[in-house]
Amino acid sequence: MFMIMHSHEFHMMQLADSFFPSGTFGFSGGLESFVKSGRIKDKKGVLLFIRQQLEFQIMPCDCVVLSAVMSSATSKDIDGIVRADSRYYAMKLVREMRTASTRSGKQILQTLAHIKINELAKEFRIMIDQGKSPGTYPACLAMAAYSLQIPAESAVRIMLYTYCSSIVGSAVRLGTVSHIEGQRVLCFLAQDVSSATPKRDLDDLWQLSPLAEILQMRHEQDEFRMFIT
Amino acid sequence: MARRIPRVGIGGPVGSGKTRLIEQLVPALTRKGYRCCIISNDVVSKEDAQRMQRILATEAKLMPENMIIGIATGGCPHTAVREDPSINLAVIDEIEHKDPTLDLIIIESGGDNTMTTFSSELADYFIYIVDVAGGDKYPRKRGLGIESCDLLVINKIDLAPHVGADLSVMARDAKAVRPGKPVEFVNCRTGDGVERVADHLAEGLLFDKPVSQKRRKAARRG
Ligand SMILES: Nc1nc2c(ncn2[C@@H]2O[C@H](COP(=O)(O)OP(=O)(O)OP(=O)(O)O)[C@@H](O)[C@H]2O)c(=O)[nH]1
Ligand SMILES: [Mg+2]
Repeated sequence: MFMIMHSHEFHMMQLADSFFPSGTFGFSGGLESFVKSGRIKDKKGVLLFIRQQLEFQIMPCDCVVLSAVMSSATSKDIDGIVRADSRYYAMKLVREMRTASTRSGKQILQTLAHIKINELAKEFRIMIDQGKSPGTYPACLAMAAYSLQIPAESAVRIMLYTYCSSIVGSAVRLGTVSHIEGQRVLCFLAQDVSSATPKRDLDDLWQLSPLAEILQMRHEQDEFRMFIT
Repeated sequence: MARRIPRVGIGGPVGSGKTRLIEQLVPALTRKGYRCCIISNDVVSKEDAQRMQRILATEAKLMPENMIIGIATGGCPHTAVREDPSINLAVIDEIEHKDPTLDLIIIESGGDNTMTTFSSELADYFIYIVDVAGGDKYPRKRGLGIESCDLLVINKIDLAPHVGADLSVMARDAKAVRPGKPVEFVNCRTGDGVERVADHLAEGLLFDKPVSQKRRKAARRG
């Protein structure tokens, strides 16, 4: 028997699709600088880079903020949403990464406003527009997921998957891996993505990737570049 | 929400003269009394934005440097202006908050193929620019950009004799491929014909009377 799909499953695919407008196709998350400086040369390097970014930035920071925002949203706590959003913004040390994150976040909510947005997400958009909350990517993605009735665990996986696929996409465009190697790298990451269980408490927030941050900062000064980050 | 500032998108193949057109267009628009801002999408560098900052801001002092913004396209020039114009829209949003009194935002796309178009959410008016050195087959070979743009600009007419391009053929084919829609022949090196491009923008995007008509009226009055 074929089970009928819940509408949130459809929206999960929609949000995770690289066709969903979020501007992230232009982000390499520092990979461009790693490749240019000769630190990453092949699929092994790309896989290691993504794994380390997942472990030291995305899981302990981005995922926690996303989960915290979703749990605040569930209890209609707009202050909690703003707190998590602002904390994330404050923790991102690289200007280019902060700017990219808020530009992407705001546009996700802009698109959402035309498809399906609930009152709380609307309120959050107004706070962003008034400069009361920065509107970072994980916070806005959380509000999009919440509006589309996607469960929190699935929202975390959407963010992890889109991160992996967008970095692999950059690696393919940079010529570091072929299209097939790209898909293999993604498969190796399946376990990392599916076993993630992020905390929701902002006190658990941390991140540590000094080399990546230094190279991300160098990217800001780079004369010849293909990617926004 | 801030006021929506009218936007013109400029697309065209690599090296066809998009940046040079803007460098000539901004002085022409300034003479008409319009204040503009520029977003330059670039495939592999910040070079075009930096060149315009030098020519239009530092040297000609026609606009502040921070009103010329470069965006990297991640190697996907058409995605950045069509399928996913998020970053361009975010930058426009910031500009509209910073200076809502601007008359016009000019968006240069990264050099691309002839199928480039702008998302209608991003640009209100679309200029497609090709150059004669690509061959006088160009309007005839069509492409969504050439066919659907509001104004087709054919650049580098000074090079026509050197590459064996027949401008009358290009004019004839442009008319056939784009019935009823305008085409202008320009030399962006000297600025020849760029005033007419500015007239099209004033009329078609900013809904001002054509300048030639204004002049005629003024002449009649005088
Ligand atoms: N002879 C001649 N050269 C021109 C003309 N217009 C532009 N050029 C030259 O053509 C080259 C490319 O011009 P750009 O304005 O940089 O072209 P573009 O379309 O912005 O290029 P990309 O953004 O890199 O795709 C430059 O060296 C210009 O000086 C023209 O009318 N005649
Ligand atoms: Mg250019």
